[in-house]
Amino acid sequence: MGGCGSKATQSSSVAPNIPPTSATVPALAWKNNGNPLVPFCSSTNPINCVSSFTIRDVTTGATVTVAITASSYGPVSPGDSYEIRVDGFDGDGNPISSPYAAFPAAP
Amino acid sequence: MRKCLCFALSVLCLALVHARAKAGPKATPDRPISAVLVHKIATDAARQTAQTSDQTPQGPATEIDFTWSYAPNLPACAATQKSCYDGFTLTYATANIVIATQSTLDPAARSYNWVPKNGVPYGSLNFQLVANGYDEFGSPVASSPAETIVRNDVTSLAAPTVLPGLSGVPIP
Repeated sequence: MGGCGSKATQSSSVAPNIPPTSATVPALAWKNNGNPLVPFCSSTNPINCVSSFTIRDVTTGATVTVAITASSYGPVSPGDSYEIRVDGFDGDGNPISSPYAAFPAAP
Repeated sequence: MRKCLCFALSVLCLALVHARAKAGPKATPDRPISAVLVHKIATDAARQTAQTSDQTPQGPATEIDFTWSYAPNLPACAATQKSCYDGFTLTYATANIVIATQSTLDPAARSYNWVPKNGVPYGSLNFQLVANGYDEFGSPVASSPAETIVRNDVTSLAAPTVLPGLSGVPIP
C-alpha cells in the first residue's frame, strides 16, 4: 500500500513539466458511414458513391457538412441533441441521402 | 506429273492439320457472356428468383450469375495436354481480380455464380471470360476475352453507425 503511494508521489515529482492532457471538449463520433461497399466520390465522376456527412443540431436546426473521411465532429453543445446522415449520388448522378441516425443522449 | 500433284496435295493437307492444331482455343466464346444480378431480401436467407438489375432491387445484390456458350475448335484436354482446351478463366476486370480458373470452370462449364464475400460492389463492373488451352507443343494458350458489363447502381444509402453519446475529444 505504502509502496504504491510512494511511487505515485515520486512519479509526479520527477516529471513536473508534462503538460496536462486531460482537457476535453464534447464531440460526436461515428463508427462508419453504413455503406461499406459504396466507394467515396471522386470529383470527376460522382456516381454510385458517398460524398459527405450532414450533421444536424436538432435543437437549433443548424446543419453542417463534414468530410466523408471524418469519424468525429466537435466541439458541440452538450445540451443539444444531434443526428447524422450520409450523402452521395446514385447511378444516374442524382444526389441521395440516408435517413438521419440520432446520436444517443450523453449518459 | 500425277505423282508430283499427289505429293503437293499431301504436303498441303499436312500443313492444314498442323495449322489447325497450332491455332489454340477459338478466338472468343460463341456468344458474349451474359450476367444477371441476383438480389435477396435482407430478412430472407433463401435465394430469390433471379432479377435483372433494371428491376426494383429487393435488397443489396449478393451474387452475379454468369452464363455463356462456347463451340470449341479443339477437343477437351484429357490424358495429354496438347492441342486441347481445358476450361475457362473468369476475371473481374474492373478490380483485376480472378474469380475462377479452369480448376473450377472445366471444359463443360457454361455458367458460374459469383458470390463475393462482402457483397457485390457498386458501380459499372466489367467481367472477362477467356478459354484456356494448350497448343501442339503443350504451351498454354488463351482466347481473346469475351466481356460483359454489369451495372450495380446505388439507389439508396443506409444511415451511418453512430457511437454512443457525446464523447470527449482531447483538445490538441
